[in-house]
Amino acid sequence: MKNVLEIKNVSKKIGKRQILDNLSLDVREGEIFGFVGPNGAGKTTLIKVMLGLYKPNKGSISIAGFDIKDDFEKAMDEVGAIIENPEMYGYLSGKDNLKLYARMDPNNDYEYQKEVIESVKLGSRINNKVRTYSLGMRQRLGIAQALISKPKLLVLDEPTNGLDPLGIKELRDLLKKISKEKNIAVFISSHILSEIELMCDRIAIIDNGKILEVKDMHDKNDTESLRVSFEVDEVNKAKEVLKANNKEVKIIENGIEVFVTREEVPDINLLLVKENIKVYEINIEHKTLEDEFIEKTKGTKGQIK
Amino acid sequence: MKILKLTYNEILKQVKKLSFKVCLIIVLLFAISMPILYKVFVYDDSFPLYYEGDIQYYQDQIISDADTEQDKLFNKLLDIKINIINRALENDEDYTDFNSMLYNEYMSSKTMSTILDSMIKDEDINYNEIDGWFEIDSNQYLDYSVQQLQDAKNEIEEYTKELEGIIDTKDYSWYLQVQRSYYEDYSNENDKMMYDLYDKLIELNIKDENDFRVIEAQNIIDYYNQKEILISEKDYVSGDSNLSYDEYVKLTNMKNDEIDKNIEKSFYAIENNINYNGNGLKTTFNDTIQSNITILSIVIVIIAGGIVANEFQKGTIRLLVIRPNKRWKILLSKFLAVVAIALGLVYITYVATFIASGISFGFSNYFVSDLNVVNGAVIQESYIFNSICNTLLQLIPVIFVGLGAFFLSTVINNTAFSVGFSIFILMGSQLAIMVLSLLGFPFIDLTFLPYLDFAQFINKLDLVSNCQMFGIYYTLGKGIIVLISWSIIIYLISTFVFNKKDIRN
Repeated sequence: MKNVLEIKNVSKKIGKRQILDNLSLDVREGEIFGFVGPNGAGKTTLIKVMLGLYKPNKGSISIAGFDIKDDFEKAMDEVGAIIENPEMYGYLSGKDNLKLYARMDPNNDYEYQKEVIESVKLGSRINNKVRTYSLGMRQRLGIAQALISKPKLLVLDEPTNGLDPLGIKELRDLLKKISKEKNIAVFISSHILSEIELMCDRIAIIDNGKILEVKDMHDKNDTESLRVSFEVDEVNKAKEVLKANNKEVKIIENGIEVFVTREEVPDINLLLVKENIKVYEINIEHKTLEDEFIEKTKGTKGQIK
Repeated sequence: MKILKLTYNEILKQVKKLSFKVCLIIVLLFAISMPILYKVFVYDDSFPLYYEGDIQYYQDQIISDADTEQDKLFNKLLDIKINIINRALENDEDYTDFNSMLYNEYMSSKTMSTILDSMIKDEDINYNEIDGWFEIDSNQYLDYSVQQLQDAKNEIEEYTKELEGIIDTKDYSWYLQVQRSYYEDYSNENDKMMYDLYDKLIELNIKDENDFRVIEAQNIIDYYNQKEILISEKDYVSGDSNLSYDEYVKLTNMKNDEIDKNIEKSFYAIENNINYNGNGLKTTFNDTIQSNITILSIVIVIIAGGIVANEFQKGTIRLLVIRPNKRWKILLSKFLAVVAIALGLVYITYVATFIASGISFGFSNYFVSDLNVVNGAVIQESYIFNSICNTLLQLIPVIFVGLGAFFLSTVINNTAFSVGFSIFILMGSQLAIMVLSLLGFPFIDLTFLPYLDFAQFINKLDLVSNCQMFGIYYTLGKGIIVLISWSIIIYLISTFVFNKKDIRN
């Protein structure tokens, strides 16, 4: 798969603060790439460097094969973005705003633009002045703005900020649809992992200007141990039974808790049932990315914020 | 092509703002109302020769129980005065040199003939007292015999009758003849010129005091009085002025040349009967355009000062610079938009003023030729063409100041400061020059300060008086070169800063 975004060894200092530290990253064609980190980790800075708002002190960035320094216009032709809040001209209608952006696009495709406007579902409100829009509507208009030039890469900086849960779900669905239908890679940043992990193909975790880990969400890890709780009637008996089978057991309210792989769960259940212990409920608590994220960024300066 | 699209976007963004629409309405209202106000207040403005109050005053003076001959004559003379004032009021006469002279002359000759009548009757009267009251001189007649008095009286009555005819016909040539008589025994060049001038006007058979040729004649006289005599280098004391003797000579010659040209034009206008001032239309139109441009320059500064900084303040700059356009193109398109808006506003106000002035003063006056002197010969030029050229000329410093505001707002990102400072420079440039000049600052003519008002280059006399006031010598050509040089420097710095800028907000 081709890379639509390549970031190589990028560093950026603002004042005395090292915001980005020798950071490298690739985004593949058509994937949804999550970019997660605590506030102040350097997410927005990286996005600004990527889009030419900031000049990096070191390193190179290319979008769709065009270096943003040498081929700025060609590179920018392949990218659409929202940075922080999508601020537009409040005294113009949504449609007029989009027309402004469309006019700046060298390959102006009228049919495609109509399609984009339809896809963000603003309906007749598209003709109202932007200053009358709600935050969710602005966010959707922002996405239309980013898509209007038929980009290969869509960059969204904290698009869920300020949206209600329903708005977040709608945004997620919209992005999934766009990515699939138009084969657009989406680079999406957030400081709340749970909001985006469900839709991402890959997720990178950033802290203190460095990438800590890039995780592929499609790799299912069967050897990973999960926290599983069993609600049983005889807690102490259950503990003894499992201890006899070399399992580490913790007693919790209404039951016991063990750390096992997914495959072992039915086996444990069978053991308990054989000993006539009544099992009312089995609960597999996924060790979520959230826990991993907190674990990974724990104790770092970024978390203090 | 790309630049054009970007520029179109920028223009659209500006003109769709409510504040722009409000500015446009204000500018248009001004452009339309000023010619109308001129028509109503300046050109219809005339003082009456006499007021009702004058009559009341003289009526109060009438002696009610007049039994002496002295009192009776006094009342009679007051009566004459009151009648003449009444007559002027009925004819709605306004105050001009012609009218005031005519009515005064008429009044005193009528008064005199009445006094002579009383002298003939040998009434017992203290004529000195009467003289003092009615501002005449009857002393000369005191030693006259009755026959002589009779002759004098007949003569004066005839003259009175003549004056009465002039009052009825309003024949202005009488006034011209009186004026000419003052210069009859001319002894110097100036008097001879004046004599010839009135001679010419009489010859042209001018009957009306409002004839433009009369005004031109008055202008010629004024111009003559403005001419300056060159001081020799030995006697030249620069005083507070920083002008060198050479510059002084140049300026003085420029002024005298211009005056000569104006005189030539006025003579040409009188001889060929060309009312090149267009019956007040041209003055009104030019003044209004000049004021329009002053107002527009403020509007342009506000737009230019905000066109970059506002995008930063609102955060819209982010979605603008991530488009496939290099930053210098964005900046250039913004500047071009300012220029285009300036041209558009000038065009709109020009048309509005054109129509409003045309309606107020008559459109035909636009087609009265302008006069110009080229190589000593007077030629006729199209007024509309000249006026368009002058308007565009005056737009140059407006765009320059706009560029200044644009520069400031790009470099320091603050609309309020950029606009405020630019307007301050625009309005305070004269004061700044004078202060710098007083401090002996040597290169004032290389700063942009003297060139922020190009109206001064249209009339050379204005230019000379400004040069003399500021104590610096400059010309239109120098102004254009200096402004262009500054513009290039300012523009390049703006582009450099904008290119390098990290967009933080």
